[in-house]
Amino acid sequence: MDTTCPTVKSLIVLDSEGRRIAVKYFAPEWGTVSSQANYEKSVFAKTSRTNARGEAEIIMFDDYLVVYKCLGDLMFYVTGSLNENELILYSVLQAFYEATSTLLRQQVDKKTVLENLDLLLLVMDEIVDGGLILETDPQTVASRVSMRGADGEVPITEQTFSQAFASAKEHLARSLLK
Amino acid sequence: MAATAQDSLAPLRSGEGKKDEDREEETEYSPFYGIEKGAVLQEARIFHDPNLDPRRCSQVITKLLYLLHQGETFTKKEASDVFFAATKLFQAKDPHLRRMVYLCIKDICPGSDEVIIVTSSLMKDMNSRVELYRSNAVRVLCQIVDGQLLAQIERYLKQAVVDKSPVVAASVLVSAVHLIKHNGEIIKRWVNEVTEAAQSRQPMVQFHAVALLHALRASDRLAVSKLVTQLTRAQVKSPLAQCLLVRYVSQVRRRGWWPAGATGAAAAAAVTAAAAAVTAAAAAAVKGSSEVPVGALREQGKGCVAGRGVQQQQQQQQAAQQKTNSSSSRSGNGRRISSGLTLKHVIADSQPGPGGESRPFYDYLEGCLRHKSESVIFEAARAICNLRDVTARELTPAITVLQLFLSSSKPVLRFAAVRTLNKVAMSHPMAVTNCNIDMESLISDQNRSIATLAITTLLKTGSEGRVDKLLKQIGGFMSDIGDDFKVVVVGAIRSLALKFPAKQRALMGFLASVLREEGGFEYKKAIVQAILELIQEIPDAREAGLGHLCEFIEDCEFTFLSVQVLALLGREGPTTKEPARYIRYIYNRIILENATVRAAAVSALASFGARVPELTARVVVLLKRALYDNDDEVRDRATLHLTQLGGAAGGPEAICPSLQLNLAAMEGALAAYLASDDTQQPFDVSAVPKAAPEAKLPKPQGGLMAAAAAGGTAPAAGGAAAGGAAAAGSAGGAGAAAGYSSQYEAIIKARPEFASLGPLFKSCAPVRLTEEDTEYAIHAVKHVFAEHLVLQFDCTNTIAEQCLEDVSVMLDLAEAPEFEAETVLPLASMPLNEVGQCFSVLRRPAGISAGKMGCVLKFTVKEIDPSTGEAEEEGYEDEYQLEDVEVSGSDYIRPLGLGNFRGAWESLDPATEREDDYGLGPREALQDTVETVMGILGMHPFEDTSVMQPHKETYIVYNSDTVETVMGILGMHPCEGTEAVPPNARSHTVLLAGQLPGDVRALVRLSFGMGADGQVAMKVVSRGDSEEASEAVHAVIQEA
Repeated sequence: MDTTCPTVKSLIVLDSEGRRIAVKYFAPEWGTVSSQANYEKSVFAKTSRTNARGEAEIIMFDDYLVVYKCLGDLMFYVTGSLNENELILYSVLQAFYEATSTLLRQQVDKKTVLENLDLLLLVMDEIVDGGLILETDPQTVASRVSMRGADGEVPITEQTFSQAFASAKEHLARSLLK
Repeated sequence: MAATAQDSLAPLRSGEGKKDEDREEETEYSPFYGIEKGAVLQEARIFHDPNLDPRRCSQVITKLLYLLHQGETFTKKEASDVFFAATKLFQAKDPHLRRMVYLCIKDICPGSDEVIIVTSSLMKDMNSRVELYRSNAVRVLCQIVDGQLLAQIERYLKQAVVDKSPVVAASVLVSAVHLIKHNGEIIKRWVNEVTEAAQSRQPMVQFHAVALLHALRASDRLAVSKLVTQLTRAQVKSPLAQCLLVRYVSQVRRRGWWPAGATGAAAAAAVTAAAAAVTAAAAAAVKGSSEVPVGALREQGKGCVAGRGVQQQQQQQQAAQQKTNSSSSRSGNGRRISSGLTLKHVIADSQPGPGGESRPFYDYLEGCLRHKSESVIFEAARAICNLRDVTARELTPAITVLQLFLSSSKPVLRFAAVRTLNKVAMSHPMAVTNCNIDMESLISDQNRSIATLAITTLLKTGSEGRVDKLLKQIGGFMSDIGDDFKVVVVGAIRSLALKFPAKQRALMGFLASVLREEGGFEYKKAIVQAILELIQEIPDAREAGLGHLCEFIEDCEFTFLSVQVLALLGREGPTTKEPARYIRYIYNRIILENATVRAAAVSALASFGARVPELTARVVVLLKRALYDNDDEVRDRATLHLTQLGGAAGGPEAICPSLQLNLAAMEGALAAYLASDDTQQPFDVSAVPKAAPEAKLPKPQGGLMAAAAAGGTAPAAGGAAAGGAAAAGSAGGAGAAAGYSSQYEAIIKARPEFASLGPLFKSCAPVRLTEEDTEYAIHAVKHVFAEHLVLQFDCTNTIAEQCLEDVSVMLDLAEAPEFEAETVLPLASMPLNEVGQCFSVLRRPAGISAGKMGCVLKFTVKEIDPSTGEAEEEGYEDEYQLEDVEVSGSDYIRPLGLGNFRGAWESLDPATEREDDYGLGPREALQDTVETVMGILGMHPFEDTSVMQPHKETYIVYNSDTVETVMGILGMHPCEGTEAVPPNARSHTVLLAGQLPGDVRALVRLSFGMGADGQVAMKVVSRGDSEEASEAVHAVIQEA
C-alpha cells in the first residue's frame, strides 16, 4: 500500500488488568493470536502505571508509537508506526474513545462496554478501514454506528404524522430516561 | 463447560495466579461469562427462523464476533455455516442488525465460492436510498470481491465515487485504495471521478481522493510531481489531505524527483494550466512537460524577466482565459494571483542562485505552519526539519511552532515536538537552543518519554557553560525515573563529557553520585562503562574516575562489574601518581568477596607488584595471605604470581603480558599451524601480528538518539558499530582499508613464508591490473611490513579451455630503484573462475619510498583436450602485460585512534611541525575535498572540532562536496565528526591521526577555506614523532 498515507496499525481496548476487551489489528506483523497477546501484554505493562485519565498519553517503544487514554476501568490504545504523525494518531484515538463514550452515554466501564460490545466493534469499524482512517469526527462516527437516518428507510420529510409522532415520543422518553 | 472455554482463552489472560477469583467476580457483570463456541454456533441457527428476532440475532452476532476478537478460530465449515445463516438476515429490515451483518461478513470473510451468495443482497443495498446502507455495502463488497466480480460492479462503484453523501464517497475511495494493489487497471479508469472527488468540500472524501490520486501515480514520478504541483495550488481544505500533500512534497524533494528543470517544467505546467492560456507554446509545455528541455524553460523564464514579460504574459493569459471562457474561470481570480507567484517560482527554480539551492515548495510548507489544524502544522514542521541540508533560516519558523507545542497541555503534542526537536538537535544544535527554557521545564514531565527526550536534547544543545546547571536539574530527576531512561541519560552524559573534556570533573562527579544510588545491573553497567570510557578518553579524568570506581567496588553487588573494575585497576593503577592508594581497595576484595572477585583482585594486585617496584615487597606479603584461600583458582593465581614476582616462571613481566595479539590473526595462524604436518616445531607466536591500537571510531551523535528512541539501553558497542558504518561510508578509503586489512591478513597469515617478515603493518585496497573482460583477472594488493613490501596478486583464469600453471608476476623495478626483489612465490595453477594468489616479496628501504613497478604475468599454458577434459602434458610458456603497480606514500600510513587529539598534538615536538598551503581549485563543496584528502593519508580524524563554524547569515555555497573529495585522497579515518562539514560551512578543520611503520605517529590539522568564487584553499599542519613522519604527510599530499 501507499506508504505515505497515514495508517493505523491497531486499535485495542483492554481492561484494568490488561485483558482484551476488543482488538483490531491491521498490520501483518501480528498475524497470530500469540503475537497479538504478547504485544498487548507489553503495551499494558508499559502504560498501566501512567496516568492517562486527564489527557491522552503517548509512548514510543520497539517500533511503535502508541497513543492511549484511560477511560473508566478501560484503556484505549491506538498504535502507529514510528514515523507516523503523532497528532493524526491522536485524532484517531480521540474519535475512538469519544464516539464510544457518546454511544454509551458517558458510561464507559467494563460492564457497560461488554454489554454493548456490538457498539464498540462498530465504532472501530467506522473509524478505521483496513488500516486507513475512515472518519475522525466522533459525532459522525457515533451517528453512523447508530445507523441514524436508516430507521424504517423513510427520511423525516416523508414520514406520516403518526410515524413522526411516534419517533418524537421515543426521543422524548429517551431524553427523560437519561 | 465454562472451564473449557476459559482454557481456550488462556493465552489472552494475564495474572494467571488469581484467575479463578477474578472469574468469580466476573460472573457478576460479564455478559460473555462461560461463552462457548459450540453453543454460540448452535444459537446461530435462529438466523434461519422465518420470524426473525432482530435483537436476538444482533446478540448472537456480537457473541460470534466476541469469540473472534478473543482469538477463537472457526473451522472452514463453521465459518461457512455461519456465513450462510447470516445471509438470511438480509431479509430483516432492522438497521442495526443489518449493520452487524455487514461487520460479521467482513470479519468472517467467506471463501470465494460463497461470495456470490451475498453479492446480490449487497448490490441491492448499494442502490438503496439510505446512504449508510450504500456505504457499508460498498465496503463489504470491495473487501470480498475478486477481480472478475469487481469488473461487473465497477459501474456502480465509479458512480459512488461522486456520490453526494460523504460517507458513500469516502467508503468507495478507501476501498479503492485497498483494491489498487490487485486491480489497479480498473481503478485507473476512475481518474476523472476521483479528480472531481478531490475537489470535494467533505474533508474525508477529499483526503481519500488525494491519497488515491497519488496511489494511482505512485510509479510515475513526473506525474507525482505534477499532481503535487496542482494540488498545492488548489484549495485543499481537509487537514488530513494537507498532511498527505506535505508528505508528498517532502517525498518528492527527498528522492530528488525535483531537479531544477523538472520543477520548472512542472511549475510552468501548473501556471499554464491555471491560467488556461491556450497559446501554442504553453500548450506544448503542458503536453510535453516531461520532455521540455530545461534550457527552453529557462529561456522562457528569462524572457519573462527581460521584457517585463511577467505582466505581459499574465495579461495575455488572462485575455486568453476570458476568450476561451474555460471552466476554470470560476476560481480564475484567485488563481491568476497565484500564477504570478508561480512565475516567480519558475524563475527562481530554473536559475540556480549563488548556491544552486532553491527550494521549490518551501513556501508551501511554511504556509502550512499557519494552518488551523495542529496535525497539519506539525506535519509541515516535521517536513521542514527533515529537509535535506536545511538551513538555519529555513528551520526557524518550524522551530518556533514546535516551541509552542512544547508548552501545550497535551502530552501528545509535547511529545511530538520534543521528538522532532531532538532529531534536529543532532544536525543543528544551535537552532534548537531557543527552546532550551521550555525544554528544561519538560525535564520534570509526567511522561517519561518526553522527559528523557528533553534531557537528551538539552545535553546535545547545551553549551559548556550550562552543563553544571543541567546536571543539577537532572540530579533531582534521576531518582524518579525507570532504569531504562536512566541508561539513556547516562549515555548522554558520557557523550557530553567527551564533547567538553573540560567539564569532566562535574560530569564524572555526577556519574559517581548516580553510581552510589540504587539501581539494577544494566544501569550500573552503563555507568561503569561510561566511566571506563571517560578514563580512557580523557587523561585528566583518570585519577578521579579510578577513585570513584574503587569506592564503587567497596559495595558492589554485581560480580561482573567488580571483576571489570579490578581488571581496569590492575591495568591503569600502576601508572598513576600514587599507585599505593589502590592497594587497600583491592586487598579488601580479597578479604571480603566471592571467589571470582577474589581471583580478579589477586591478579590486579600482582600487576601492581610487577609494575611498581617499590610496592613489590608489600604486594608479596599480601599475596602470601591469599595462598590459604579456600578457592583453587585464587590460590593458584596467588602462587603463580608470587613465583613470577620472585623472578621465576617468566618473571614479573609475565604477570601483565603486553601481548596484544590480533585474535583473528592468532586464530588463523594456530589453525594453519595445526593443519601443517610439522608440529614438531613449537608455534612461533611472534609471527602473529600485534593488534592495531583499538580503533576509536567516531561516536555518532545519532547513536544516542537511536538509544533514546529505542527507549532501551544505550549500548556503547551499538553506537560504535553505527559509527563504524557511518565512518566507512563517509571516509571511503579509510573505512574500506580497515576491511581489506582484516580480509588479507588471514591470507598472509596462512603462508608460513611471511612469518619471518614480522607483523603486517598495513594492507592496501586491491588494485585491478587487467581490463574488464580479459582472459585473466589480476588484482594487486600491497602489504607493508617493517622492512618489506609484499605484493599479492589475486589471479583468476576465465578461460575454460586453458590450464595455466606456474604463474608468477615479473616485476620491472626500473622506476622503483629503492626496492629490491627478494623472493617470488609462484602460484602452481591459476584456478578457473576462482582466486589464487602468487606473491612477490620486495625489500624496502626504511622510511617512505614511492615508485612504479611494471608487471608482466608469466605462466605456462596447457590446452585442455575437449574430448577428455584433461590438460595436455606439453605446455608452452607465455606472458601477459599488466598495468603498473604504483606504491605511494599513503600506503605507509594507517589510521590511528587517539582519545585526545589536542593532548597528543601538544606532546609532540613542535620542531617536527611542517606547514604548507595548497590551492585545490574550485570545488563545489568542502565535504568532498576533506574526504579525498583523508583518503590519501589513511589517518584518523578527531573530535568534534569547534573550529567548524557555519557562517550563518551570509549566503553560502554548499560545500560539503569538497570535503568528500579531500577525504578520499587521504584515506584517513575521520574522528568524532570532524569529517562531517556542516552544511554551508565556508571553512572547516579536520583533525587526523595516522601511524607509519615503526610505530611513528603523524598528526595532521587540515584547515579548509573556501573563497567566494568556490576556490578552496587547504592548509596542512603536521606533527610527528619524527620529522620524517611529518614530512611524509606533505609528501603524500604533494604527490596527489
